[in-house]
Amino acid sequence: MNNKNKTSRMRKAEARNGLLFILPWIIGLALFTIYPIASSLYYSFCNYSVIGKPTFVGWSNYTNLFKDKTFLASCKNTLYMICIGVPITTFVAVWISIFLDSKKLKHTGWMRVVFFIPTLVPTVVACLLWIWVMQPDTGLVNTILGYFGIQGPGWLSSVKWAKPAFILMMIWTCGNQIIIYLAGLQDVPATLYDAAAIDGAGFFRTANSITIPLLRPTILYNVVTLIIGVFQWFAEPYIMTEGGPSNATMFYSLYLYQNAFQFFKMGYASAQAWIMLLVAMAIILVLFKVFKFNQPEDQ
Amino acid sequence: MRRRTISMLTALAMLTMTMSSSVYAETEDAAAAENMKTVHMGDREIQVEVTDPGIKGNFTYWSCFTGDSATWDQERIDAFNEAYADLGIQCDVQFVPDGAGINNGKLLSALAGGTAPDLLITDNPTSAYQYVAEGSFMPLDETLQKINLDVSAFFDGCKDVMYYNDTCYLVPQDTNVIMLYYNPDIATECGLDPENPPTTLDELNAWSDAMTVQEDDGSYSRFGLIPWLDSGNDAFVIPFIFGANPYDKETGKIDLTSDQMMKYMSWVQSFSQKYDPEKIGAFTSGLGGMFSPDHPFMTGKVGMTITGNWFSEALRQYAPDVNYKVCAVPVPEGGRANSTTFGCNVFAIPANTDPEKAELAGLFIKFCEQGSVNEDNFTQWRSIPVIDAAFDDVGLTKDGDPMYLLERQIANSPENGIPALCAVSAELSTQFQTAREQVIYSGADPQETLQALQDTMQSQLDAK
Repeated sequence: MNNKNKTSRMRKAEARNGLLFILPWIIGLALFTIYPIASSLYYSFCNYSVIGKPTFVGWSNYTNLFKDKTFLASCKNTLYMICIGVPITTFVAVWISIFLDSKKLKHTGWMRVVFFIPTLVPTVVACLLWIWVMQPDTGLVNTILGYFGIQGPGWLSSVKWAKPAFILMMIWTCGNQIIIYLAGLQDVPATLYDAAAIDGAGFFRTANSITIPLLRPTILYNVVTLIIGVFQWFAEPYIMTEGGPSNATMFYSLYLYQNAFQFFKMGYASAQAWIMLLVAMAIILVLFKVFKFNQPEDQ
Repeated sequence: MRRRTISMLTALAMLTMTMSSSVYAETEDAAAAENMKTVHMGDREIQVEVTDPGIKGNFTYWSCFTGDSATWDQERIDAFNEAYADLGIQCDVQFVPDGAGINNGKLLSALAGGTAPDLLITDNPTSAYQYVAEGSFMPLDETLQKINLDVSAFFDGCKDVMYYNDTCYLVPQDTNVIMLYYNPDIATECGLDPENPPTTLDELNAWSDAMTVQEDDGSYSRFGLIPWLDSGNDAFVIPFIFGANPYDKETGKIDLTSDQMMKYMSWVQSFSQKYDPEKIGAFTSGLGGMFSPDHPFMTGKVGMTITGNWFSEALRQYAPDVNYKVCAVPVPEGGRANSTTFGCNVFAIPANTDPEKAELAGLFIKFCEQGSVNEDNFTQWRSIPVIDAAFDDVGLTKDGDPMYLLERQIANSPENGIPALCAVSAELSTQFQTAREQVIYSGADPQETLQALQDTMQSQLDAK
């Protein structure tokens, strides 16, 4: 009995000491993470301009959002990037990684560097660079298209082509994903490739039947981070197009920012942020289901 | 005898009064002279008036200026600090891009967090006015009275932005006028008389058509005019000059569907229908906008553009060989002929600023309103003073500069103003630009688009 009490006291003391050790972190978490999250939830039900005091307005911010044409346009544009931009970028990144990992190709080391370098360019610099690259008259893209007899569009000034221009830029900065895919490819057992080779499988058959299925968890991770990135897509449209022309590049975060910091509608922006959180969570849960996250390969 | 005595007494009284008044004037002049000081501003010496408020201390100042303008502002601050060093007063500056943080949320965060500066200057009067409506800035009437800065003689058009509910909150440092820039060489090449520029909308359209060059493959190598080329963030500039009143302060109503506004939108739409807007976009999506050598006016890809006096400095810097002339913006019937919107850089003191700091900040505002301090600004950017009489002291006026004379003439139009200033001005301006883009790029119906926007913004305004 005495021993039990002694052990219990020691465990309590250990727990207390442990709590004391992590207390600074808990305080930081409470102050800088939990409190802002809780505040934004409260403000999402308020009319709040940041300067004045918040006044409770119930669900009206949420209901007004769905009547707001700019908000609906921003949802549509963001969805476009998720449904078209993310798959294209993923497809390109996966195949580049597979080629770079191929034993048949030599001197791929410097190519890996080439693909990774764009991710080191600061966002603002990259944006200014891409404004120039997308120049209708003298830009690199239209100049190359011109060699093939194609008259390129006015990318960033075109309602139709502004979003594809951003997808091109997204692909250009997929170096981080390539590095992660290359790491994932190291986990694919070499014996499977040997067996496939004995069976006479070619490069594409091996890639489709072995590499890509076994790369599933890595693809899931990259797709999830890309989708979150698209929801947070801000600096690029802010610098390059300011959401134009005609709201063609008004993405979710950009409109959220405008409401919060330019139009004095922090409550409205908070509601937008909560909708974004819920939608992003739903999309990611669906992806987990589709990609059979945490399930063995044979299921 | 009696009459002689009376006349002698009267003469004596008049002599005494004349002498005393001249002595008084001399004393006043002497006092003013005593307050004058010579200080350095950049590499020159200037005479400035110094006022002793009887208090000492520092105040913080956020400047919106960047590049050359920031250099000029730093020189101005150094001059102020030199002038007031003996009185123990100092200005501590921080350069905060994007309108002194007004366009990117930095000022909003600082106001909410209690770390706002004691004074700021911004180049976005529209958003500044919304800050006023939100109660973010201090009423300035009392401070202005204390430092003896009389703003009653400021141009009436500037007062649109200065006053909110009859109280002064914002003080313009200087102002700008909007004009039509045209290339006389292109005009001559197209058989137009550059000495007789267009004055009506029909004439402007005729000039634009004459200057536009279409190649055999259907592409355009030159446009006469792209109405929205340099409109940038000044959403209501041309609608206002066309005669529209997007917001009526008296009734509190937003009006985006007036005949004059429709004339503007139809005019803009006629360009997008006549020429493919994406082809026009090929001209307008330049890297550096107005301050870059690839601006279409500088490269000869457009023959005319509507913009402010500051563009002359861009031309001087990036295209000194391009010949240009200016005239008042041509208007349709019912428009504001020979008029402009005033684009001001405005000073504001955030609410809750310590009263003593506010007074010191007020001194800086007063210092900056002096002609000798603004001379470089006026010469370089052709900005104009906010008081007509102050034109006389500007070097460009003394030199008889024809463009500056035209600016003065336009600045004195009684129809000038700053449109659409209300409690939702920032959002109204942004959404109006989007509506204009929808009309240009998506072929949206102007009446329907603007009616929808008007209804939305009016309900938001009413909810304030």
